[in-house]
Amino acid sequence: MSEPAPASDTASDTASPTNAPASSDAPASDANGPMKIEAKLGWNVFKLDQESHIEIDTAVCRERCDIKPCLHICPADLYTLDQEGNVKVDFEGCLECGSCLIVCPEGALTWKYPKASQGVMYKFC
Amino acid sequence: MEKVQYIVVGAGLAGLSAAWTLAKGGAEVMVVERGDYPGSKNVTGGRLYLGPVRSLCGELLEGAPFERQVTKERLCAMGAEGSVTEELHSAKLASPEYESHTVIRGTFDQWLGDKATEAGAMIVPGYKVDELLMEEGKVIGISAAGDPIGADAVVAADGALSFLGEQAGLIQRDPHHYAVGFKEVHGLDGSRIEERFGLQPGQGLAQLYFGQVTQGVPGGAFLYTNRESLALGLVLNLDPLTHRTPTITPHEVFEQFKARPEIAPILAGTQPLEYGAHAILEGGIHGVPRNLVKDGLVLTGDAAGLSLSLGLIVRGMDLALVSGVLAGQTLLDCAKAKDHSAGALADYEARLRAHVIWKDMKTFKNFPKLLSNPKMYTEYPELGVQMMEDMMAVGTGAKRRLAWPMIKTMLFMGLNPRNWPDLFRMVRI
Repeated sequence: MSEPAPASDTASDTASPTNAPASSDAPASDANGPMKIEAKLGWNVFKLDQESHIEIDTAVCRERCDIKPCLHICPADLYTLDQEGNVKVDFEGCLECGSCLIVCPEGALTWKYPKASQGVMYKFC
Repeated sequence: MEKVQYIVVGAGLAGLSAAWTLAKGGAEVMVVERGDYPGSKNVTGGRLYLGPVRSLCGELLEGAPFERQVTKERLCAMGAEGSVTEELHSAKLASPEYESHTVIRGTFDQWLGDKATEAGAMIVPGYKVDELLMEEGKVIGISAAGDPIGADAVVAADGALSFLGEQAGLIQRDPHHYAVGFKEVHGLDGSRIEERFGLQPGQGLAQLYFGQVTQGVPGGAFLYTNRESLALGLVLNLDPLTHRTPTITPHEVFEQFKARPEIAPILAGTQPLEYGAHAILEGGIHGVPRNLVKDGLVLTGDAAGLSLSLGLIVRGMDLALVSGVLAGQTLLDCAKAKDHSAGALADYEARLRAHVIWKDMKTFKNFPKLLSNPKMYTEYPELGVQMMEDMMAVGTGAKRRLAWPMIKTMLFMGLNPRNWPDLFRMVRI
């Protein structure tokens, strides 16, 4: 029995999502009101994958889904509507809970875990 | 095709306790884990109850890096503008039989992985399984990054989403049986944690909140003290969250919770460390798949739907440890008999059913129904807060008899026939 090779040798940077500050010394909330989700995701370490582990079947999503729960159940607020009204996902801040997959009523999501060693890296949870 | 005797998918508590049991019993076992180290993809509330696991996992958990031993429990009912908290500070909670500890999975699972390695298991982190290898309906191994690896049996310990259980046709993800848990971890010196919550060194607090905190969505919030950090989080049942109008996001609910006067001071002077989220099974015994085995496959832990949420008690990690050990024991027997068919593996289900954790799952089978009632999160906690306000507040006017608020509350609940089913369920908890 020999040890299998790592599943992925894709180069990746250890970093926070592009739109989040990398520092983790921001206060939990401040006098300016509730903190932004981007700041919160900035506390975490993410190893960024080149390609998304979440794919949206836009045709199914547009035509069949009236409620689009992904837009409001994601604890990282990663789902948004673009100008054409299509659902988009910013997979880089994914916490990998899978809630969007569980609630998607039309099976419009192809959701896999990120490649080996990619995605969020929890240390304190 | 390469072959090992047993493959465990997922280095969480179920997977590692299964691997440890198998390795101790002399079996060849490989644990594959998609994260860089055990625990790197795991999130708990969280607290581990030791009583239910002591007989099976006592040796495994010797010297475990627990955070704090819970000696203080609080349950807080939150109204819109007030809350009532019950506090239990008890020596009994500290006694060996009722012991429970807070844990951080990043630390705890790595340590457990080392224990399994010492026992002879091979742990391969950074290795993601793509699918089960099946032949004529039997599981014969796994495939990862295009490499097939054969095994006499596979232990699916791949968590609440269990893609392996889904591929094997054993689980379906019913949104009614899931919640999303999300939490912030904030760093604070151990001595300040002890001052802030009135604890001795090494002692910990576990606090659960229900009521307005989840804005009508079944669920709750929690606070656990670690050695040098606080874990503050929420759980929202997914189906009601999906259909709530107007919609709310977990992030909004969290920020409003943190802004409450009960919560804001708790976080004063802390340093944010991490924000995590995880799917949680909330169906109790109803969320456990009909079959936990298939030819060559065993489901354990969250993948087997093993969790128990009773509002003031939340269990999952103890069930995972127990199921892992029982799966390991069953496989050792199967190895002797050289039979890994579903019929032989069904002994695992029998062992689970004979264990105290299954008795608890059965006893509390009605809980999900009770906890899915929106009134538990709006009307009832508000009544509790009002009752305590009426009893304790002294104003300008003459005060009524102290029994009056209690009588009023009971009449209010009891005279409304629509509350009777709830009262009936409450007395059966």
